[in-house]
Amino acid sequence: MFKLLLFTLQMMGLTFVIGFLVAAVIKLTASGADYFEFHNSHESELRRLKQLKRRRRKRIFDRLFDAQEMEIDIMEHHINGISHGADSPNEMDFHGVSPGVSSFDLLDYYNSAHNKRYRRVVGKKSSDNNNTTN
Amino acid sequence: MEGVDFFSLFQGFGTLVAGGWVLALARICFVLLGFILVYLGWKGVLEPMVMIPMGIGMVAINCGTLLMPNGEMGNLFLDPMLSDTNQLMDSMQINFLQPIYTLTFSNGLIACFVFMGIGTLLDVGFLLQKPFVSIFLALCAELGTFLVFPLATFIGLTPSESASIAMVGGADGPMVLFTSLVLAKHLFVPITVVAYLYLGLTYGGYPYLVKLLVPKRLRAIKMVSDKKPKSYQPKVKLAFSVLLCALLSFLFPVASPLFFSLFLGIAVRESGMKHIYDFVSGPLLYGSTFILGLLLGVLCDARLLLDPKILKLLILGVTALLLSGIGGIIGGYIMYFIKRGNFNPVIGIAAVSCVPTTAKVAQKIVSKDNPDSIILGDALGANISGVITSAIITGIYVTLVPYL
Repeated sequence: MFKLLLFTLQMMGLTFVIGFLVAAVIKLTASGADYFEFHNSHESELRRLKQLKRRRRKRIFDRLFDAQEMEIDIMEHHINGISHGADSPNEMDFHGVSPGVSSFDLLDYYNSAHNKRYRRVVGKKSSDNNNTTN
Repeated sequence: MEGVDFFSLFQGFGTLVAGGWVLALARICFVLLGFILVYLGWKGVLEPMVMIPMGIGMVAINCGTLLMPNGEMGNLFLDPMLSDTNQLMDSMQINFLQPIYTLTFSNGLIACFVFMGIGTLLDVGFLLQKPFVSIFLALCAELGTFLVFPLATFIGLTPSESASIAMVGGADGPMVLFTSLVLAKHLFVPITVVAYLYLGLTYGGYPYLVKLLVPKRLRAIKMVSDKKPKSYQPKVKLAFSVLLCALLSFLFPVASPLFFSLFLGIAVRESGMKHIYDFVSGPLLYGSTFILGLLLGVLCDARLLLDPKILKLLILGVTALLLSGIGGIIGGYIMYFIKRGNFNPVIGIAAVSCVPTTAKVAQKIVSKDNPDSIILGDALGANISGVITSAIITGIYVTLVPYL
């Protein structure tokens, strides 16, 4: 009798497991259906959103690329300045040699975003110089 | 005419006298029961589509018993106990219902047809909305199916017979027919008859059970939902039916004809094949149900049902149905506590898979106490889950019980 009760309990357990497995499959089907329905019903909006995202990504890349180029220019300019003593922390190092005509205009220096980057790059360089000097 | 006596001329009466008083009494009881079933079917207390042909069949088979040329008692309807091919062929040429019985009933085809028709009635959208709640309720409503199995073995039935009668707790006629055909073929006539008789009683009996176990305050609960009920497209329901058919057939190949029939019905409903849908949900379902009722009535021959196990089957059958109803309501109470009062426990009774009777019963009871409370959607979800869990248990019983 005990064996039979145990067998019944096992069958009950198996039924619960399979029942919930079936419920999970039903839930998955329903969730999949919701997902596809959302995509189908908002197709045009999603396409527009995708285009907008692509454009924004492109703009960010372009800006980043410009900024990198500019950073390189600024670095070169700064290095030139150092080599010629113009940006040296010690004013006595200035040899009086002109670094030449700068490719930057005022806007490049005073534009807030670029200016920050400029200050960061130049500041870092000068602090490095200070460390080495000290 | 002098040599012909009354009993030879009117063999219905003659066999009544010749068979002994026990058989005579049993036949008279079955004739009376047939009259009662026809009356209750006509009044709408029981399902008329099954009960009226069943009642008339019962009356006809028990009145129309005659003496066969070999001197034994018999009838010209059918002989369900034949298995020899030659005898079957002979019988098919004499008994007018034998071909229908042999080719549709004893191989489970009619159960599959009924299941296919039931499939066309099921809107699985309700199940897709709340699958875990529905399946949980349905699993609770199988309490009778599980508890009656060891109980029946305890009172002397074999495990196969016990599993067959325990399936009455699933409240699904085709499942009982299928299980008893596979596991206990010698008892499938009485088990199926008992099952269909009791299934007819759920409509009249369950409201009392619900009123006994659920107080009026809880019966009147109106469930509030923040989310708007979703409506799923037919293609989603079609995908659901194909996926579930594949999964369940993989798990239980023995019960795959039933899974196939049920999900084919759902697929027919959702695929937009209008003519096939009209055929399956109309003539096929109603025709099969009518023939099933007729065959069940004709199988109620007192000679076949005078088995000492019948009383046990009658008691076990009603116990299984009662326990399943209680299990469903317990499931309803569990959900009521989980959802902190925002769940009507009456929905639990709908998880007993007598599609769509129990769902209608649940809504009817709730509407009487609170006309604003609509639970039919949730009740149908639980109802459909009940069919699925019954099919799962059929698969488990048919696969595992022979190993016991």
